[in-house]
Amino acid sequence: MFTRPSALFIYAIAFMIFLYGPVMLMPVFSFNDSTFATFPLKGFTTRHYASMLANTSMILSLKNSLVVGVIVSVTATAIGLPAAIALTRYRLPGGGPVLSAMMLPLVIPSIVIAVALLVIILRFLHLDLSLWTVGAGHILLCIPFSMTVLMSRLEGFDKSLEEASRDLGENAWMTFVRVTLPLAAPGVISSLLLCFIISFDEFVVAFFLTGTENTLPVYLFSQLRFPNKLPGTLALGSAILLGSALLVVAAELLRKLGVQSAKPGDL
Amino acid sequence: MATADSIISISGVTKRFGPVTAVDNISFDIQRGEFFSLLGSSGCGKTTLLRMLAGFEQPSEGEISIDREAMAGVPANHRPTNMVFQSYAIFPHLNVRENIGYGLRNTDLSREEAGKRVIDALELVKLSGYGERAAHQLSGGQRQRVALARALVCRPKVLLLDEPLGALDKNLREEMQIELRALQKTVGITFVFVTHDQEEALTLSDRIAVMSKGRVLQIDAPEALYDNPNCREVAEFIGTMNVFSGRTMESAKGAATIDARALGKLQAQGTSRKGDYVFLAVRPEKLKLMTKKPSAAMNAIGGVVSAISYRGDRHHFLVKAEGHDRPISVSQQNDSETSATPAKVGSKVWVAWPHSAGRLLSN
Ligand SMILES: Nc1ncnc2c1ncn2[C@@H]1O[C@H](COP(=O)(O)OP(=O)(O)OP(=O)(O)O)[C@@H](O)[C@H]1O
Ligand SMILES: [Mg+2]
Repeated sequence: MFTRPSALFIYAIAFMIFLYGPVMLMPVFSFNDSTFATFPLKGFTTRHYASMLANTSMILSLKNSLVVGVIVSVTATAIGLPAAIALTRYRLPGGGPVLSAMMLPLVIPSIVIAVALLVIILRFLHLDLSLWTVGAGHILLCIPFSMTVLMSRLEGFDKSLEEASRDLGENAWMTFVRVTLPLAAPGVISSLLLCFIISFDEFVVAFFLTGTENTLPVYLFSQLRFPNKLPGTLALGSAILLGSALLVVAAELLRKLGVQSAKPGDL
Repeated sequence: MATADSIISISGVTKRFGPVTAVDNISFDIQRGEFFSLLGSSGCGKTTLLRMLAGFEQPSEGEISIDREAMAGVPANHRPTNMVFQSYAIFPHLNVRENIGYGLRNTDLSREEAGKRVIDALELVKLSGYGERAAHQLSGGQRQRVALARALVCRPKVLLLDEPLGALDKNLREEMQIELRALQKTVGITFVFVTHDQEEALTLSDRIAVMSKGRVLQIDAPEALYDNPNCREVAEFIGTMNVFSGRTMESAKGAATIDARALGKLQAQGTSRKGDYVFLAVRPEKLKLMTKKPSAAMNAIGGVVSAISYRGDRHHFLVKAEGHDRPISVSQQNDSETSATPAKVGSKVWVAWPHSAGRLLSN
């Protein structure tokens, strides 16, 4: 009786170690009193965190990444929502091809997109590279993800709910505000989070399209040549890890709360 | 066709979805205050017609007017109709009170008046005290009541109901049928009720439109539909009907004799031209089982009992007759004197009925 579950249990543990072991080394080395990330550990210190805070260009790039991430997630979701509603609610002529076209960035390698965007921005639009161009590239990458999340949410609830609202005297806009939006809210939140993470994490497009200011991944890449900067990077990585863990827990709690009141399918 | 007191007038309405014609050139009127049912098998276009009344679909051809106003181009939110959806469409993010009050935001009622109306509506559907319940805490029957209250609270001229009892179990459904009928009498609003359940339609309606393949076959009161169906399809859809086919031999003074080949000569009410191919329809309860062949004053068909089922108040027999594909259904009341089964499976019997009990149908 017990052998099979315990074998599975061991497998699960091994799986977790494989998945999270490398990530967990990062906080360990960030508290290690040495410039080199090697075993054996030397002693406990928080000086890497102090040096991280003192490193203004690193903090600046973190700020850039946060700002770009927020703008990208809000914009991509705002663009994705009407498109998702149109594609799930109406029989559009050519809806299928339009959807495929919107999903294309999912399958095109980001290096191809990056090069194409670089050419367009420099040769055709004659714009200067900046965080704005990075943001624009990220929005392009995020829209298919945003659409996927939003469409699955919108398809999940009974279309007669919106008709009921029209029937009870509300016009199209108020129906959107009073019915569609509240019911799509969990999808909107997922889309915001997902797009933020994608933008925050993205390297290739940001590397090609950025001007003088860097986003965090690009900055970190440029610092890897200097070994003495590594512990500060590890400290930052650990801080981000903690931040995102808190975010995920918060999102999950929100979702759990939401599930009770907004379980749309079965009504 | 439009009479002074008709509230809905449908004239020449057709609805096509690409190659599919869902509703095919329908014209009829619905009277003010009537409980009107659209009855038909699945896919015959009932929902499509109802949705055109509600304003969710536009007719491809023809016109609909409600309370003498043409409805072409009038969106659902400006029509004097409200709908009870098959799925109930209760807003999951709102509680019962908010659901019922949803449609009152656009009226010029004050907050207190609107609140009062919601309370009255809750009382009307026997849900007083349930106002703060969340939508997911309701049973199927309660959701149905909330959907009703939510539509009625807007005081529509016409209430549209799309198979509102379809999702309920049998007992609850019968209970709700009685309540629905009583409610309609109380509020006096015209109900247009879609169903594919003929018993439900017969129980509830003032008049019924029987639909098939996008067309209306017959519109009549329940008794008239049952006693005088105008075609074979209606006859077979409403209740059980035995149908015999044959050619008219002679027809005079509202009675005709038909040659039903192997079944012999049969007589029925109705007129038909000599030589026409016709159907003779007769209800199971009009038939009698006899052990001897009756006199010529009655139609009689010889056969063998192939099945008997006991239904409490009556016995139901299936009789197989030579030259007739379907077994003949015979239903006999079990009154106290003749409670013993008059026949056994395998016994030879005569199925007989008076000439006046059969109806002649031409198609
Ligand atoms: N939006 C639509 N697009 C294409 N075809 C449709 C659409 N709505 C209905 N139809 C078709 O029109 C016909 C009538 O459909 P309708 O829903 O009115 O039937 P119904 O009588 O309500 O059936 P049921 O009892 O199953 O609900 C069907 O053949 C259906 O496939
Ligand atoms: Mg239907």
